[in-house]
Amino acid sequence: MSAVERVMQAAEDQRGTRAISSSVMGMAIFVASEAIFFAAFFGVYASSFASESVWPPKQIPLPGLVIPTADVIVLVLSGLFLTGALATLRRGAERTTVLWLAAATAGALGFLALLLAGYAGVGFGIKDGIYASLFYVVTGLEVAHAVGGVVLFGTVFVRAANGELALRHDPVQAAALYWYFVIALGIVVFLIFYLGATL
Amino acid sequence: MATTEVRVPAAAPRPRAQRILDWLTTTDHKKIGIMYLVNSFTFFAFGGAMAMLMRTQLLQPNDHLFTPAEYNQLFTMHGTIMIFMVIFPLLAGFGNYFVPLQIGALDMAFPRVNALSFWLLPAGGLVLLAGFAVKGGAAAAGWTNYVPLALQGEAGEDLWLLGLLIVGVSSLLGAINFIVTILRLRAPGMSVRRMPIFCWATLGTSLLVVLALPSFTANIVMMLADRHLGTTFFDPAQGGSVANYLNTFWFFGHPEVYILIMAAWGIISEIVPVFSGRPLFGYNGVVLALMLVIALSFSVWGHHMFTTGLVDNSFFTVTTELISVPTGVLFFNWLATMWGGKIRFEPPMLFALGFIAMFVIGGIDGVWMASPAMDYAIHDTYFVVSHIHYVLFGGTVFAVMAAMYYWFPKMTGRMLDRKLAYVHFWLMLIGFNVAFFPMHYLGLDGMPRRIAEYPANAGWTMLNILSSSGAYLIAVSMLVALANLVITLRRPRTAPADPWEGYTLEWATSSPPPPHNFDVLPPVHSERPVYDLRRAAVTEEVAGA
Repeated sequence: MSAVERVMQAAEDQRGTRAISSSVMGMAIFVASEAIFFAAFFGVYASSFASESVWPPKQIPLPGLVIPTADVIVLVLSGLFLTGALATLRRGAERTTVLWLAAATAGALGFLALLLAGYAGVGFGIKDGIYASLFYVVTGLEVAHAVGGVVLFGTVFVRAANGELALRHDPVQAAALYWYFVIALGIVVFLIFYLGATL
Repeated sequence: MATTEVRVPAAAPRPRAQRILDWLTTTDHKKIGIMYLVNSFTFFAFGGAMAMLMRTQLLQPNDHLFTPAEYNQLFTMHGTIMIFMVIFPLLAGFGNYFVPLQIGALDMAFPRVNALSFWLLPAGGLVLLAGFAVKGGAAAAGWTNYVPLALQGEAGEDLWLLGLLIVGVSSLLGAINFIVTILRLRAPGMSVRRMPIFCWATLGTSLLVVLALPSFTANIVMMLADRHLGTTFFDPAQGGSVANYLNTFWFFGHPEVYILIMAAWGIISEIVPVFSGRPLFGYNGVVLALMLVIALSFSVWGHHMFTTGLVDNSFFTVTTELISVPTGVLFFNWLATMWGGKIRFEPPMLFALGFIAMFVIGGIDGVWMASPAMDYAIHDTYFVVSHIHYVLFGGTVFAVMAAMYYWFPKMTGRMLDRKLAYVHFWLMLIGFNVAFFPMHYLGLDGMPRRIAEYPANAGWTMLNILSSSGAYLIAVSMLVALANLVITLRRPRTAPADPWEGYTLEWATSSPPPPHNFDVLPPVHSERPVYDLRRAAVTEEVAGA
């Protein structure tokens, strides 16, 4: 290690106690950009909602609430498991963390499965106008993000099971940040496209 | 200063294949920065060649060098390539090379992500260009890709959308990398208030990318879905709306022009003080101005839609005129920096002065167009073409050339030839004004943009001939610059570590820097650490004598 690297490392260590890690910060910025990405679709939703007299439009049959409600509950549960993982991680109980992570990953998989199963109860197709366009594209992107979350959890889980958590916590924290975003998205989608449409 | 003169002993020459592989697999921000620049200048040649073809078409009325359909492809791809493949990546290239050096870091925060950001770029560019090879040709709906025209495009349109999706991922990853690097990897002593303005500007650009680009990504997703999945986002007949297109596009589209200019402002804010022998006037004011531009840039997108009747014109007029306040602060601070300074008219400074003069013209054009009454008259005319080129060519390209002459010695260890640089500057300045100033008159006279031919009796012929000759002159100036580059690269590496008596940390290491950037990192007590070192050395000498 050169003299410069030692100085840099010292600065890094000094900051490390009060600053978040690079990967968590990078993920936070990424999540911010994701929020803008979805905001564009919700903006289109809002302007369509404002310009239609009947919303959802008459020809759109309302979706059933059972599977979507179960889905959002599983999603929130996976978030709680994840919070458990983060809490045990802070305490240094790495073995317990791996278990919590396994539960959160299972939750993510369950969410994804129910999300896909939910499409069976939808009585309209993607070509049925602006409401259908928004519904399918936004929920489709939600599926894509859930898949991304499962992949992310998978890699983090393997690294955690290999004992990497003793060295660094930031991969789990970064993955958690992403999943919290997916949870927020899932709740908004549920409120807008299921609960809100039915009420 | 003795500490900067460290020379790493020459390593044994490595086989050529090995050296090429080193470049292809590198995660060194300096090599990636150079690859960004090489890639962008290559696309610059493509985009420039398209411009020459268009100007040749318009050299005389009723010309039929190209069919209107071919001409549509030319201006679409010219704009797209220049904006997404040239200007932004050029600034990102300089950012890649110099941000870590300026903040005293070893590399970017995520070196492998950095390599990915770069390699996605030529990939996206090739997908864009592949449009010329498919049936129906490249995308032809203009760089703004308006519906319903874009919905009717053939395969070239899909390649355009996919190419920009790839380029967008590249930009987003790059922006995240810049933000984390600047916020987390600064050398000891480098507080944010001591950060070079170029780093501030890169930080600002990256914030704009993170907050504006996703809207365009969403726009592309909707476009692809409308074209292939049967959705109706942009189809008014089925509940969709063209406003959905305009809003999601311009919410990105206007911050985008600041993405294309902010780092150029940063470059000018570095060069003007160094060659005036003074610190930057009003450092805090400049930083505040950059932040204000970022904030305001998200409130002005409607001025692109004045003539549609969809937006509140007076609101967007006020926000747009407001943005000229921070921009004015920048101008006055550059002028005040030069005031009373000992100005050295080296090539970087000449291009910087060219930037200031040209950008002020482009800026004033902008203030005019921000008035809806004026905009109704000149919307979609050559006036707009003139404005955007005064801002992006007279602005950013002049700044890029300034940066090239300023930083080339640092990147390669070789000084570009000064005489050829002067020839390049004057040819480019004259050529640029001859090419684009007449477009103001053409626009005021009502010549629409994006037309492949115009009638002989319209009275536009002379001005078009003038404009085309200017364009050819720009091409000649670029050949001079290329010749300078080729000649210089064959010369030995003789550039000193700090040829310009610079202020910022990149001048504290050798030219070119070692792979680990710094052998010794000087202490940072102000925003001009290298100047402080030089002054300390002089003070010591005087005291010793």
